[in-house]
Amino acid sequence: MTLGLDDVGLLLAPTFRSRAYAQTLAAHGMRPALAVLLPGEEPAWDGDETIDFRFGDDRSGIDFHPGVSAKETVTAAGWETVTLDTNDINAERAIETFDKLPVSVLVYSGLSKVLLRPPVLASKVRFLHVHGGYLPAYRGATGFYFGLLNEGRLGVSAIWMDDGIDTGPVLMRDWYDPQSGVEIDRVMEPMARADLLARVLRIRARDGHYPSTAAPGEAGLCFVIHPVLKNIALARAQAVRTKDSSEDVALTS
Amino acid sequence: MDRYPCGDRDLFRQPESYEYAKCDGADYLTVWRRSRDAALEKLRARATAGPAAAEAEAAPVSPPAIPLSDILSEVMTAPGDGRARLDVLVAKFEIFRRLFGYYEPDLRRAPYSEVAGLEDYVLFGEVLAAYAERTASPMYVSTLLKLVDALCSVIGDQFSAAAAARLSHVIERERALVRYWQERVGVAP
Repeated sequence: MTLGLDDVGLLLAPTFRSRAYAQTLAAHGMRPALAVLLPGEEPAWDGDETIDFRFGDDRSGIDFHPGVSAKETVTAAGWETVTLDTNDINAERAIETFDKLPVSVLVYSGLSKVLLRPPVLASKVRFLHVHGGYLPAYRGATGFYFGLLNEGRLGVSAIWMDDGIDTGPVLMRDWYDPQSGVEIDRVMEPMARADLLARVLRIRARDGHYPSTAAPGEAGLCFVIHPVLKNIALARAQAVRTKDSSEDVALTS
Repeated sequence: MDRYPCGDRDLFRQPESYEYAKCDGADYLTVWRRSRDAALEKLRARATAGPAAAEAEAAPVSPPAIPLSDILSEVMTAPGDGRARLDVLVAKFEIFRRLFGYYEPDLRRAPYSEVAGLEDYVLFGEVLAAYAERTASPMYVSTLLKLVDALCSVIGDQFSAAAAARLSHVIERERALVRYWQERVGVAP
């Protein structure tokens, strides 16, 4: 059964996060109105072709194919697509495109560390972002790792983007248990975010409105985690790889 | 990996972003510890060497500018009220990788103030270590690690014997904090 999301679009960049988003929504039978594809070179994947991904007993997972681009998934699923010629969502021509889209919400999976400026915030679409970090305690680019250090779990929060660093209203947040042996940066973190996104959109489709939560807690801004602490966090998640990877992996925010 | 990658240049002049760090090797912490051992050796040599070249005298700054050292000393002794002020300095260091010698009471950089001296940065390290120990917050440990990376990248004649000894102590505390986090999350060797 297809779950139509007629007023929702996805903004997808060539990243592992966008791959996780597209594959998760497609696997759950969700069909957004369109996908906006951002330009750029697709990152290479050097691991297993398929990762059987499950978050706990009560949540269904998917077979994640990290090597399959979001564009391939979107095309195979038959979603409408719009291609942008810039990955700067604050650019004037990007805003013009957003204003013409037949959707009211764009799920943001563009470049990391982007702050929305007033013009794009004034456009007709709202940006739904899933942050890697349990808000408000773990704002910032590596909140995910600080949460893992402190809590032993992976925090994820869905928010409406505003002009601050992960300061927008929280729709839903949750903790995910790490899976032993699964790479965090390119698989577990994107998949945790994709899972929460699917849960948010399912509620939207079922109830006709988006969830929201007061998200109580002390606010904290996390700067980029030092590699020594990141190494310890990775060890905690039993995800330290035994061989060096030759590929740089961006820490997505 | 046989060489710690965060210290092969003057990190105050050419800061490290840490954003794409390759750190998932099982030997990463061993290499990091060796790098700090080498820094401690240099610092011991400095601590027993002759007098260091004096730091350049700071340019006069008009009142009500406050020396960074005074702000840090106050933050150190007033943990309750000091944390908010420390967090502002942490944010400045994390974003710009440098501090200045003088600030206005609202912690804006004082006009004409020059960058902080090594003694100020060592004091900043002592304050970060103290807060990391008091609060068990990994955020302060993370900033401390970056600061010590930067200080270790410039060890040389400009360090006074006293500053060298104090930085050595900061490195020992940094090492204890890393050990604490390894033990806390159950991954100590």
